Amino acid sequence: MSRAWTVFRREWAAYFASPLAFVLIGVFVLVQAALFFYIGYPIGPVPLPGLWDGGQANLLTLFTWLPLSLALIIPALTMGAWAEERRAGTEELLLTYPLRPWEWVLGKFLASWAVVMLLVVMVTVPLAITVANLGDLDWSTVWVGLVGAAGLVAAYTALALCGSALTHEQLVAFLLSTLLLGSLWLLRMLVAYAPASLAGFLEQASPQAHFLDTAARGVLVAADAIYFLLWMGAGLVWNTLLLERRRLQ
Amino acid sequence: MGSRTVLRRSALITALLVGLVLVEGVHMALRHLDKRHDFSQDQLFTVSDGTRAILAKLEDRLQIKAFVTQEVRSGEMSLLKARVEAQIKDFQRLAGGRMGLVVQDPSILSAAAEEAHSFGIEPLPVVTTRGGEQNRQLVYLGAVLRYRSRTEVIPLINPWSFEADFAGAVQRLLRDQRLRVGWLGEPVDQDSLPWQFGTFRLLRARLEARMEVVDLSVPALEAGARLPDNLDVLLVLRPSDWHPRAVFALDQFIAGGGHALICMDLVRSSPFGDAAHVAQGKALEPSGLEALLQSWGTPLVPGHVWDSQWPGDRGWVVMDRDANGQATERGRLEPIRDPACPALHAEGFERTFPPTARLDSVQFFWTHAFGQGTVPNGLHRFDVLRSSPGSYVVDPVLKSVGDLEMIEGQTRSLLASGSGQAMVLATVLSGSFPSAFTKGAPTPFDATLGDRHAKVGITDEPVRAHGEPSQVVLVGDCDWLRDPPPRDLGPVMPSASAANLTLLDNLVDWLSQEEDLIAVRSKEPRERPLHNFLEAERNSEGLLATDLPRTQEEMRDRLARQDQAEARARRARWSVMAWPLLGCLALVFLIAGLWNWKERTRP
Repeated sequence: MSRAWTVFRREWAAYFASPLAFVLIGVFVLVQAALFFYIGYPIGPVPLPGLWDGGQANLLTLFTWLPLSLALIIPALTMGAWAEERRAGTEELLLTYPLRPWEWVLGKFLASWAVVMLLVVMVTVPLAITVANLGDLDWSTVWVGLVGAAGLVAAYTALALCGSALTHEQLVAFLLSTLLLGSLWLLRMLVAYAPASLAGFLEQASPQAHFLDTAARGVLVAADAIYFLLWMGAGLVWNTLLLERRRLQ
Repeated sequence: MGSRTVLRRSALITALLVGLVLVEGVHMALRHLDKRHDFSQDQLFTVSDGTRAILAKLEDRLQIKAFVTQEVRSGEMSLLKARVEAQIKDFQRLAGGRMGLVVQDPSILSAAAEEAHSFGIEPLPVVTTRGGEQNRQLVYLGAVLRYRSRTEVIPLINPWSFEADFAGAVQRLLRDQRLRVGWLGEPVDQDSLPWQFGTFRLLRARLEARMEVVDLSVPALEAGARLPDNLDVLLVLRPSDWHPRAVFALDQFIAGGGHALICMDLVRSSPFGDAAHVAQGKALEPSGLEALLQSWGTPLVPGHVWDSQWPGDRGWVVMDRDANGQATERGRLEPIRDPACPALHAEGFERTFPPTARLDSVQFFWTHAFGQGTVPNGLHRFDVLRSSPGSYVVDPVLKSVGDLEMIEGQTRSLLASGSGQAMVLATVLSGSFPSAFTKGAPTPFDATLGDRHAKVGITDEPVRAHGEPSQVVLVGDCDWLRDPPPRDLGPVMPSASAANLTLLDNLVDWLSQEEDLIAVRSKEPRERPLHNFLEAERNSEGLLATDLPRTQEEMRDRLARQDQAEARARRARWSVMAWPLLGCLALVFLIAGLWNWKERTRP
């Protein structure tokens, strides 16, 4: 585990060694704030107004954007995690180190998860402070929403890292991961067009149902935790197997 | 064995293990599906304590027959159905084996369809679009609840209010007889046209859906009749010019432990005004209850409350003018914010009183306030609804209808007086009510004989001087329960809105000691309004919503101040948005930079 921690430190430092993380944080925070305050969430059968139009002290609009915005931002942050190593030829060197593939995978995963969670906290906490200054905000929904977001980010990050491990081109990795996460996000949109026999499955398979209907409203559900853990576990194992295969090759 | 083979085998074993973990994970998810904890402030997503308490009262088996279409083609509808089914399972679990469920599909069984129809359960048309083609399906989603020999029907289950509907139905089943509400006051005009919205049809229908409404007559009370003792709640709507004998009947009902909700109103309101009425000096009509209220220490203030801080919406008539500037007979309604129609904010509700604990908006129309009198021993007064601290008592405002200039002038002069204070718009009295008729019962009034205002004699009938503990809610307005105008007219006058009717339901339930239902009903998400920068700035500039400039100079000055207020509001908004965001960004960049620097300089 300590070796995974070493990888974590290396990856974390790598994120902040380039201006990419800073730019992403800045852009993400500003875009989310603009969506939250002014635009709202105009997608789907029940659009949500922006804060000023809605006039209600809650963060539901912000949380509703998270599954979609994270499906774009996480691939952007993780696209280089493996693809760049392969392109630069450092992957072979990494695999010669006295570390098991799962330790590499875990270290990189934790670093990416921590960076994305920093982004989410960076957006959520200031907006919550703002809203609490303007009205009677239910803080418990904020904290539980962040816990739910941690699960969502973990599942998304593990899957996006697999996208990066599949190719040596960062752009291809980004597109693959975005396609995968975007497909998950789309599942709930399909409910309106799906036959009744499929609707329940689509609903249960979509990350929104396990985040927006529960944690984002202040409710923690064991089934949601298992849902996110399963996706995260599947992503990490898949990633490890991909790395093992390459080491084998 | 080569290292490749070893790796392949370990990969295979890992894949098998992962598969097992996934299968077990799904099983675990199913097993722990019910494990949930609701951290939200009002526990909005958990079965409320009220429903639990009601289900705990079940002594026999509650049988539910659900009429539900099983093969629903619409995906969204099937999810709603699943949500209802999950809620019913929750209720079954909480009922601890005392609740049975039978599901029938009227879509495929004609006998079930007939039975559903006999209970008034009708299918809901649901339209689905697939491949550009619209399909219409009739979906049943209703239930019949049976307990002992009693039956309650929920004709159409609304997943969002199902808990409240279900708990209400079970509560009614638990009672040996339906709640009895006495209706005393203005009769409901069933024949009035939709635009004659001054009657109480909506209120009456609301009460009749849940309880037995007993019509009572003021003339009968005046003639010597007594109020029945078996009423759970007595609803008194706008008592007007009651003879002392009718007041005596009310006094004795309450002294006997009866519970009452009394809505006072000294003016017969009309959204369009009634100049002739005022000209005849009939703006104020005494209720006849003045002495009784005085004896309880809750005198009604005859004037109206003018709430400069919380004005409500209503319409006023603007007459069209012809080419010569003369008013024509045609007019139109325009929205206006009227201080004489207070729209209470959250601060106006007493939070420790269950019926008002979770309410955020109720609007009155020309309401009176209750003054401070001497409350007799054994009686406790508890004020539950208050206007804003910027409230004043003004002369009856009937004559102000449609007169915007009068509203503006009135507000200015009142603000200048600086004597505003919060007014009590509703109060609760509980305890043992002393009778106001200690000298004896008034003689009955015979309408065929003489003057109702003539001196009243005393009879030797027994009088309950001090009675059983009771509760009375006094409200300074009656129009808040009148039928709403047709929607297309706009905000004509405050009336029985959803929020107003929720307050009424809560008060009736509290008086009839059905507090469990109040807890269930209050599960609506509470209003959490944001600070209104523009209104605050306009107030600080002295720009009232009802202000109208009189001269060009005033107009220019007003526009300039309005611009300044808007600019300040914009700046305040920006600062409240920007500072937390920029502060957090700066903090993170600082920490990340320091950490990075430390890592780079580490030997």
